Amino acid sequence: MIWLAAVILPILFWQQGADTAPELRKSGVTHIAVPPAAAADWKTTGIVAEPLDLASTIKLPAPGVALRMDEASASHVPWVSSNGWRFLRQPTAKFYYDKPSSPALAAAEAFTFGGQAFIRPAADSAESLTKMLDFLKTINFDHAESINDIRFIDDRSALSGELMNLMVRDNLLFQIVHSRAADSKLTVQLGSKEYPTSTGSDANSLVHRIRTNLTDDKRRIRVFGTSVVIVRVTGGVDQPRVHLLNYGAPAHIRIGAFRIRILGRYSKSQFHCFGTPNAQLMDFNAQSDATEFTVPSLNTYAVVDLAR
Amino acid sequence: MLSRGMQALTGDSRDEDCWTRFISARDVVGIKVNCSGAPHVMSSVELVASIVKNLIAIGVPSDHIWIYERFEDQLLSVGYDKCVPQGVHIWAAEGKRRTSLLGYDPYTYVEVDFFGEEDTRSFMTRPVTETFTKIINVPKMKEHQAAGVTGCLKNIAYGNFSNMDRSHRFAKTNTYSFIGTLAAVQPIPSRTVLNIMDGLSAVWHAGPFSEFPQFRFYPKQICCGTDPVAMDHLLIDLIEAKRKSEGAPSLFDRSQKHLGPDNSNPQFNHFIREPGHVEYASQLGLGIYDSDRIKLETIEL
Repeated sequence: MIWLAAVILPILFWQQGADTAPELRKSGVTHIAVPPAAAADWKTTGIVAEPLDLASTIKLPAPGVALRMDEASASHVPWVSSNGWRFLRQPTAKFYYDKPSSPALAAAEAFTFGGQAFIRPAADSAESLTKMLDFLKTINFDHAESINDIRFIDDRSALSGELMNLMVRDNLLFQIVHSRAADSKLTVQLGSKEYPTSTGSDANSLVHRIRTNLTDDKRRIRVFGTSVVIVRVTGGVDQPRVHLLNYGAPAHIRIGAFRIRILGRYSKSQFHCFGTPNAQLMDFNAQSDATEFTVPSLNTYAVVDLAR
Repeated sequence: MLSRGMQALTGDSRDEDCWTRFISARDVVGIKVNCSGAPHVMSSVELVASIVKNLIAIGVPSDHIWIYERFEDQLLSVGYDKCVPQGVHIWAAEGKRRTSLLGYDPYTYVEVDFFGEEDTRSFMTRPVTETFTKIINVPKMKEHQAAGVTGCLKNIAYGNFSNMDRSHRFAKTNTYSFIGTLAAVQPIPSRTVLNIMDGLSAVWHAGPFSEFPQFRFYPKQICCGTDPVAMDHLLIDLIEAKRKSEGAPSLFDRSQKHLGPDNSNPQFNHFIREPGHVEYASQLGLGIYDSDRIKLETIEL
């Protein structure tokens, strides 16, 4: 089974009155969500305003990183807070971000993982959200199938959720399934002999075992040179799209050059980088079994479209 | 001091003859300095400027000389640019925020998974593979909390690759084999023709940085040679003797009782040191560790 969802754009949740419609139109906003009681006020404004009862949504923590500067560590690897696994676990749910520190990253995160999300930005960051929504409209988003290495049987437990969280953070590409399949690289079922849930089986060690069993050589994608970029691959194997999310964006970490390795030989590429329209990939190298390239910088979000 | 050292090393009496044994006027020369202990203990400006002066004297154009280091903030804090001719490149692989691989060669790397870290590659600095035809290694005489010492091998190994600190994340480090492994990756060993170790000042504890003045000392020497293993063996002996005179544990001590967070006390260290990395490097063909086979000439000035 392949994860499939209709890709939809995140929607601006707007609590100000309908008299702000001209301001929104000026910013290019044509579609918002509003409290149900206010929906009628927007009917003649030229802006589509869908009613949204926040009680029907799942509130998400803000995506970003915790730098943990007060903790001794030679690796300086920050903790990445991503909601990717929540979107994957509940693909039909409605999610809500309330004033995330980077609404642009929140929008890109929801878009990347196919989640239906509503975002209420802080007053001073609404513009960055509308710019991201404009960017997301400009990139072709017809193909939403994800390409994965791991079939994961979610037993809905807390441990299972944490496992998915860590897999997203480690760029271990997985899809949630209900049963094993003979043709998959790896199927993970908690409680099995290989992945026991007995005492001592913490999520970190289980994820390490998953990675070891899969092997790095068989991983669809690898990231080198940064620990705050999360990737997702969608499309087909002939024309994959690599989504790149910079979770350091809320901490104003503009990622410099980092390297991507993706299985498969691809000779063509297109790079679409939010905020840097003319950016080009560097040191592109299509080998017989894998393709590598350097992403020169990443502000918040970018996609790389590859073709054979 | 440098002149006498080079003359003793080569047997030549003229400086030009000494330097042309290693470098030609057509070379592009990288001078790998060590600035992690800056601004107090680093490859000294005077020594580096003297090396540059000798290179120019044998016809190397100033813009074919690169003084380089991994981290820009450390390198620029020293001020080499004030003491070398215009045109000499002062280059660092990474900026202050250390978030870019642009200074590294994407095609030359060592891949290893130490503890399950996600980023398993260490890339070699780009000029080493693309630009330099020769490298002069100018390390500093320092103790290193993880490696035991940081001399020729570590300066040319860790100083030329990205993503290094992962090798010493925990008390038991991976420095024993990693330093030699990196130093053996071509073209580093074939292009590093000369090692000039700066012992005008030194660090005997809590290195490679130099935040504690009480751990600085002054051997007042420089060491010129072609064998990084032999020179680092001498460095081990020097640091070991200094530590003994200060009542500090041996570099080779592996006792848990000397592990601790407070390395302002020379009885404690964050890591189990691995000075054995020097002997290990000899097994990779990088030089001679056996004291009986090391040819050493000491000159008092």
